[in-house]
Amino acid sequence: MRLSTSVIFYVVQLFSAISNRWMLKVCVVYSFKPSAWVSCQKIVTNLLKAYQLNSDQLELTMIDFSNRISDYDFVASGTKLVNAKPDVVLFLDHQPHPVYFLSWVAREFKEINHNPSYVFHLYGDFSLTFKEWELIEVLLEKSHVLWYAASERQKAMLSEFIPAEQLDICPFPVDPKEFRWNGKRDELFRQQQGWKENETIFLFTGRLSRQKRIHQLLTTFTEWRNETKANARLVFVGDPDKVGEPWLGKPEFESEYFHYLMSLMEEMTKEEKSKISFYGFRPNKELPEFYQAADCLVNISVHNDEDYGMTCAEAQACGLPMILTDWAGFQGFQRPGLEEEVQLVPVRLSPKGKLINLKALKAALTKMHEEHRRFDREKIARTSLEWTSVASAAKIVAKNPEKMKLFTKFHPLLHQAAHREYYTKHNTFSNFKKKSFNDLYLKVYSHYVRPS
Amino acid sequence: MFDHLKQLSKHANTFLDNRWTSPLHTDAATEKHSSLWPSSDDFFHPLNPMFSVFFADTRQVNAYDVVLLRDGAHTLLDFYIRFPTPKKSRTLFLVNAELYFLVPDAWRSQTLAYRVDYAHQKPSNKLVFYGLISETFMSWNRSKYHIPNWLKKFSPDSDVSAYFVVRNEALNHQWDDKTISFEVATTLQHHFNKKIEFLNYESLKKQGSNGEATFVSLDLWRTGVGLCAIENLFMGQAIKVHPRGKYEAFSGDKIGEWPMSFGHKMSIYRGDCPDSDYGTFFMMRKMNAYPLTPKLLDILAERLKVI
Repeated sequence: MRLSTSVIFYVVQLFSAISNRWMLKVCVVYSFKPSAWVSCQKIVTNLLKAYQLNSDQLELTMIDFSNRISDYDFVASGTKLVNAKPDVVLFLDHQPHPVYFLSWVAREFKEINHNPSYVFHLYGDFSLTFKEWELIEVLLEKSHVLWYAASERQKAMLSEFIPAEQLDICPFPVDPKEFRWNGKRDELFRQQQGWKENETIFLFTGRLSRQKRIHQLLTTFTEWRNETKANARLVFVGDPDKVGEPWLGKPEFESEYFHYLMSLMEEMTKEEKSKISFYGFRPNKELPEFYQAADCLVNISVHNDEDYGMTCAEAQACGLPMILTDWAGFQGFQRPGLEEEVQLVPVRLSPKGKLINLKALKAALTKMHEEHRRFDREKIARTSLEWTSVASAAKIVAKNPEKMKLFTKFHPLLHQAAHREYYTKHNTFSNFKKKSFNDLYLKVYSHYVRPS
Repeated sequence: MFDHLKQLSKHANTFLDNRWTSPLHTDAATEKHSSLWPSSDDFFHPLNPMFSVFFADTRQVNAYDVVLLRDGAHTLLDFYIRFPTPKKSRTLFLVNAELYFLVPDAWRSQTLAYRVDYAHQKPSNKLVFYGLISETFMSWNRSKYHIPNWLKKFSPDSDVSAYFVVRNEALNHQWDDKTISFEVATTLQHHFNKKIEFLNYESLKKQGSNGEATFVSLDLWRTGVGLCAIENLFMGQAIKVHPRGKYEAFSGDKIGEWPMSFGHKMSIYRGDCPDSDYGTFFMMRKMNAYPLTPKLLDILAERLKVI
């Protein structure tokens, strides 16, 4: 009896040692201080959950690398990472740029002759930091790497700079515990907001930004309502920002876009105004109520950073049909089986700007107004989460080791873009004299529109 | 009148349109303007918001059809001392209603008043103090009596963070102001039981995502800035902002409202108030009695009610 107990003990020990040996040691680098961008806060949290779901294969060590980190904490984080001798270093966040951390860590790894692999989740701001990415090239020499884009079109765009075989797609995940379809439209919430039972609620959530074309949505919706006499309301949840259109020479001051939107409202009749509601900023926990109560999400953004569309993913997880521009990551939400439930509005790219087909937008509004009731919202939510849930992302990242490739140099276009970024002081994509996009923009961002 | 104002806003040439190439832009003015940063940070408004420090001569005072003066008491008084009468200027000025008693009689016919309205609540148990710590704007030998009394309104058990901007004196040369930031910090710490956490500007803005925090300006009597960029930003994001001093005796007729964000708006008044304190300061300046700040702070503390 005594012997058998000790045998079992040693077998368990041996098994645990073997299984630990095969656990992949992963250091997850991200900012412990949340990003100023609300969507990025959620992305980092949910990506982390996806990796944690693989904790039977991954031994995760969290490393803090935040903006304005003190020298002491920087070295402490770096030392923690180097001492862990990880198999994989994973960069999860969009800020600060990994190069600032990697330049220190790579030197230390060289001293102890350790060469880990690297995984990067790339965000929409990739094209704003070419200089930094260029510097990272030399640090990744002889390492295995994997770059994750969040959508098909972002991957196509990134392949202009990064060898395509090193790229893969992992959508920014949605947590179904927060965003899911509850089985029926939230009539109580509608009542509380004063939305009529038979009124079609078109909802926009996110920052009210010039590049998200809120002004065009406002005016086109009003025109469409006047033409069709449809019983519909347009609801905005979010705050104005001051991003403007810097590459078209249209920077903005704080509050400028808000006053522009208000001036458009001023020109409307009382009845027209009564069909538009602005709710301002609402915390994340309140958003599911809006999604459960609305009838259709509408987002005609042509923002340069629209690599994915986190709010669209969350709305779709709540079973909302959507009208989106056929721009960048938005196209990915028209999953197979959801061709009717997700209407894409064509966009054309020209040096002077991005042109949205407003006639097609009106047609999509009519279609959704007439048909939203016949859509199976449970099916929309299920189909969406099959691709975007934390669990789906966990399955994708579980295969990281198989997908990592030996790093070869970036494509020459990245170096050209980095030089342009340096010499034009971040006006990489602007033809400043003509206040238009330059050829580099048209080449890189042509991947964000449907090929004509 | 309000329709006229709206018309002006639509067609007015504005300072921010050509901020860096404007003839009004000088290094000296920018230096003064920057000394009030971040409260003086630029933000857009159709009524041409700017600080009076950019007006260097009489001709320039006539440069715009309408000007929304964001000045606090100090620079506003300085403007009126430099330009006691409008002379040929036809510009319509808007001045913070809480400081209207500083507007000279000669200017009142072409000076409207504004007040920022928003729904403020009782301060929470997480307080974030912020402000420019400077002798010019605080006159510590006066403030040190007012501030401890005012602090009694906040629970001593609150969690407290503070963002202090400390920089060289731009408008006033004093040698004994070096310790003022320590004295303000000590006064705060003396009232609160918990240790104060000091913030930088980035952390200050990030505190905004803490829905529980109440932001409290140390520019209680509006000596520094009348219309503050930080307040404007926070109010626009529905963050709790503690109100600053209010001139309750102001009795202008409200002629209209202007939305500033989904959370706050600007009410416009035809200016009228029982007090007129400009003359006192004009005489002091004539008699070359420096500095004006202690007297100004006394008047402000008398006129403005802080809660």
